[in-house]
Amino acid sequence: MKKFCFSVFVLFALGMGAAASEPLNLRVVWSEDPQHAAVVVWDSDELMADASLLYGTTSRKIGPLGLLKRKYANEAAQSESGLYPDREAKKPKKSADDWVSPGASAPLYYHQVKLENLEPSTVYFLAVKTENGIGREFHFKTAPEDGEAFKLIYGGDSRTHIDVARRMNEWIADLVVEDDSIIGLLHGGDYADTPRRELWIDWLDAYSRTTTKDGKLLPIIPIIGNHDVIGESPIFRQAYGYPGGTNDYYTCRLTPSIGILCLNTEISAEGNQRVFLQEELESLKEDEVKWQLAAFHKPAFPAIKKPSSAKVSWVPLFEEFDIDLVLESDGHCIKRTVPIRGDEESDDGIVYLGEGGYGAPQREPKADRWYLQGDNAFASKGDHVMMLEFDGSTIRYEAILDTGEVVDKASFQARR
Amino acid sequence: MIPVLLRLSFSLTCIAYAWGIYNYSCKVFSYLWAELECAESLADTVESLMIGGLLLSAVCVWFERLRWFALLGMIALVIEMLAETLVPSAKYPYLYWAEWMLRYSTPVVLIMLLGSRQWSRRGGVLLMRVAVACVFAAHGMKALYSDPQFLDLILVTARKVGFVMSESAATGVVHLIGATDLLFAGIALFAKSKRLSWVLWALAAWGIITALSRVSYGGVGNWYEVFARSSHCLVPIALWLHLRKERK
Ligand SMILES: [Fe+2]
Repeated sequence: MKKFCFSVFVLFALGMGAAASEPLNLRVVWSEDPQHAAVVVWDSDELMADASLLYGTTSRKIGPLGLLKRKYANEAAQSESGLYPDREAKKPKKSADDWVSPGASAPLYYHQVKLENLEPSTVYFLAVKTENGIGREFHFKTAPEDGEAFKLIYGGDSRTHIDVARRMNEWIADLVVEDDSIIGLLHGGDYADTPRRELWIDWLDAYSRTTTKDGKLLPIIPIIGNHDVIGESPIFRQAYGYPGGTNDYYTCRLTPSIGILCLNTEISAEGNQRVFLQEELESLKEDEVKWQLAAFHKPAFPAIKKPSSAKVSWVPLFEEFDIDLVLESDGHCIKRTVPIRGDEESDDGIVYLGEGGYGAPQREPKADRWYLQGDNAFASKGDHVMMLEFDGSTIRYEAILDTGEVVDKASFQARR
Repeated sequence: MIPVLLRLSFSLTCIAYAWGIYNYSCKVFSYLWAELECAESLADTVESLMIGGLLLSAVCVWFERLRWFALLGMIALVIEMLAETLVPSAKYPYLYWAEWMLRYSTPVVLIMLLGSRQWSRRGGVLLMRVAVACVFAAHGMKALYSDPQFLDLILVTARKVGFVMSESAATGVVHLIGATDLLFAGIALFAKSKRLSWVLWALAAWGIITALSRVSYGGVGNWYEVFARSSHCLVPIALWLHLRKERK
């Protein structure tokens, strides 16, 4: 009996040991080409340098109970892994030699795997393979085929109130279960208050709650915000597999008829980034891309603060190339501007939506600004996300509070 | 003339800040409300008090008897800077105090220069010199860090006058400016008074050019950004006038 108890204890302890290096917060990141590529990132308490990702278009589980397993068609190695950096507290002058930084948080490692040559609108099943075996199976669907109607969630500023971000992500998971047409989430930046590891652990854990009980992942399209770059932290790139490389800006060709310019307001807007923007707009025009959107953190037409460098450097190009819609964050409120062209309201102008309510405290917008007045505009506050439904020649937009209440809606007709 | 320049400089700074805060809110609000989680109404009240203090100072600084009220504006500027330093998104927290030193120290300089004691007047002059040096040194440091805002000021201005400039060229220019700023800051602080004239005029000219670049960048709507930097031009001139008077 003693022997049996001891064996059970050993097995339990081994199990606990294995659990310490279980993949955490597994997520799918979309950047340039979500129909054919994705980056899968997961975290762990210990480095899983030898782990790989198994994936394929059929589930490993066979039969209703899933007791029998089949092999995955593909295995991909990690492209990068490492420890998320943490900023240590400074050692006080008169401290003892064995002083330990109170600010140093538990280590957390990231692991990135690049998936390429995927098929559009196809469900992929995946699991992390380690020396201990094959982990939990998840699945996600690549970006839709051209012409398929779908919904994309837009949310920004998940920082400060992690409890709100957690709750909202659980609510988003419910939305994903209810509505199969939701394909992903575009995040407008400011994931956590600072790039400290312990704050990002909380955020990445909170986002993992968008994963449904049956393992359906909600791909994220990440944009960088001012709170993500403090001290030139690499944490955004590590957590999301370098979307936009080391520039942190890129064009997301969601489908052949939808291009989202994901820009970075934390570096020069006018230099290389403006050259990139101009070239990308020209290429979207050449490819006759039906829907052209831009998304970035600090607003060009803010509801509270002063306009960012986007206004001087990018808005003239948006107007020249007639883009359809702009998504902004940072202000911590809800806003829909009137259609703007040449710094005034115009029927053929561009609407700017924003400004982040995915956990950040909400502020009263300055509704007396000219671009927030009248029936064609909206300004309010509340924890919210925005739902964008792409349906042929129409985008239907709704601002939805985390209570489910739709507080603003509008639709936009394609310009081309 | 010297008190007039100092008064004008502080008055314009206060008006600029009051207008900026009224229209675009401020870091004190962000800090109280987002970081300390105070009620929005409390943060709003503090913001209104700051605007009131700044406007009151903009007027009071012109009157000998009311000059102590100018310190209200200075307090508003100092707490704004403190908040700027404390918010988590602060990019150069240790530089702000030096970068804004001319903006908030002017009323103290004025009060010291108007004082009857010699130590007070000497202290005022020394504070002016330190503030001029700090402001240019801090801007120099930001330039050497390739501050994106500085890059955009140059690149947008170049584009508007029809000159195409690459980001790497602008970075080179900004670094050169930064190094020059640091050199001039050092001279302003350590050179003998009689050798300071040309440096002070160079700093004043550079102060007005950089202030006006806010308009060439963002249009006349950015007038308040120019006003906010008026001390970068007017205080070096005031200091030059004072040193000339001393020599005579
Ligand atoms: Fe932000």
